[in-house]
Amino acid sequence: MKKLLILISVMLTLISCRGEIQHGKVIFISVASDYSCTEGLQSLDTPPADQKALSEEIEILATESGEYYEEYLFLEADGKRTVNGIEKEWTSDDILNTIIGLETLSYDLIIFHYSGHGEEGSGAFAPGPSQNARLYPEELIETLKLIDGKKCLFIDSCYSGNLIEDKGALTSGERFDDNELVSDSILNSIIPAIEKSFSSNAENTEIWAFTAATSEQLSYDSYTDENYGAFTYYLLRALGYNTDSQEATIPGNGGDITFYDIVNEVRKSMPADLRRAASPQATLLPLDLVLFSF
Amino acid sequence: MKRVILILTLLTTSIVYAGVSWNPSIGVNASYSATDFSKALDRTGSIWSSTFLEAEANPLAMKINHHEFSLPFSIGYRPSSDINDRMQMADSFTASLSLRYGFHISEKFLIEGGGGVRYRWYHKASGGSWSIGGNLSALFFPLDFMAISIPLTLYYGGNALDFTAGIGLRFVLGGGK
Repeated sequence: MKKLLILISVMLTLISCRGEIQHGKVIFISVASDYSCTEGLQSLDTPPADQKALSEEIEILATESGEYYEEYLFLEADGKRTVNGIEKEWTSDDILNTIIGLETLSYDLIIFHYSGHGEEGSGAFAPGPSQNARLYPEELIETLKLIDGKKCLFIDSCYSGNLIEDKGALTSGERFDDNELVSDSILNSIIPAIEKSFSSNAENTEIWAFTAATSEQLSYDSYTDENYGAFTYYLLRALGYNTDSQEATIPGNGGDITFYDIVNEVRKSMPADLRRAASPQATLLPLDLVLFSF
Repeated sequence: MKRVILILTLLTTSIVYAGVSWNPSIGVNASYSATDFSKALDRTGSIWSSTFLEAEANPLAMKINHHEFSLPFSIGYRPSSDINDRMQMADSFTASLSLRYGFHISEKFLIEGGGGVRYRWYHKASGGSWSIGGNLSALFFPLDFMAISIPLTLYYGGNALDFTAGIGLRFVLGGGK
């Protein structure tokens, strides 16, 4: 009996030791365009505000977590194209070259954000300057795979679900009819999960992606709040940004902020009719990504 | 139809006279859980540890002399793991069904083994996966209606190998242990 109690105490001690997140870098790469310089594509109102708010919020979260913050902001707004505020006619090659040039370690966090148009069918981003310029999801994923670190993608564009490769190990509980979400329940996943659970399709790219819509849906330039994209508005609030006062804040409860905390919070807080028409999609893995730790 | 009824009647009578007793039970377990994900999902090659809490209901357990056959159903919860390389195994709920055989070594000791299926639901991600596996338990009955158990399980599915080892309590509700 004594030996059993000792064994249980050892087990409980091992289990209760909380791992500490190593402090490294948080790198925020954001591409946002209102298409004021790009002919042939409909202009958008909210991407510049999306980028500004996200960069402010992520910077404050990274700093509070004790991590070094770095940002690369590719912006098209008010007829100008800038990188970190400096005028430059940037292209998708500049974006990919920036990614490749990053010096990162395994525990660094790279957050990639895109707010702009997405192409029907491919889900390609349209970062301009010409209306034919495209950044394809496969190009972005393959480039991200070349660098160390954990990658988190926040994509606010139409057809962005193309970025969620079906390589996750888990089966979703969402069901769609005519491109609209009709239910989200564990019961929906039970039968489809049988095949997926015993196949070997899973692939770990160390990329956790969260998109504004499926591969067949549009996303919205604004919905609840005219200042931000519909998806980005709920993403900002989930991260702790005060959208009323337009101020970056630290969430009150502290602790860890993980990728699936954000996914769950966005899905819960989004109005049902918005979520039905533009259903946020996430990479489905049993391992969660710890974004910030206080 | 008449033949079917006759056969069933004879079978039931035989079972009753063979000393079969209905032996339902309920139980709870607290275990150490260790998960090894495939390289496809986890490059670190780490073992992800957590606790695992499980409650079991066994309404269809039948005892014939020293032998016991049952179909227990259980639900469980596994909290999230420690942080490792900026990752954390997410918390999940489980539901399991297994087929189990037990042998009463003596009045006080029972050894059980079985196999079954488990469904695991990661609620924040809103996604799930199946696994199949086996279980082995040793039980000691300090009282006629109550046992202390040492359960071990091993399940594979969803690119993960899950192992648990713990301690539990089982309460026998039926005629005899």
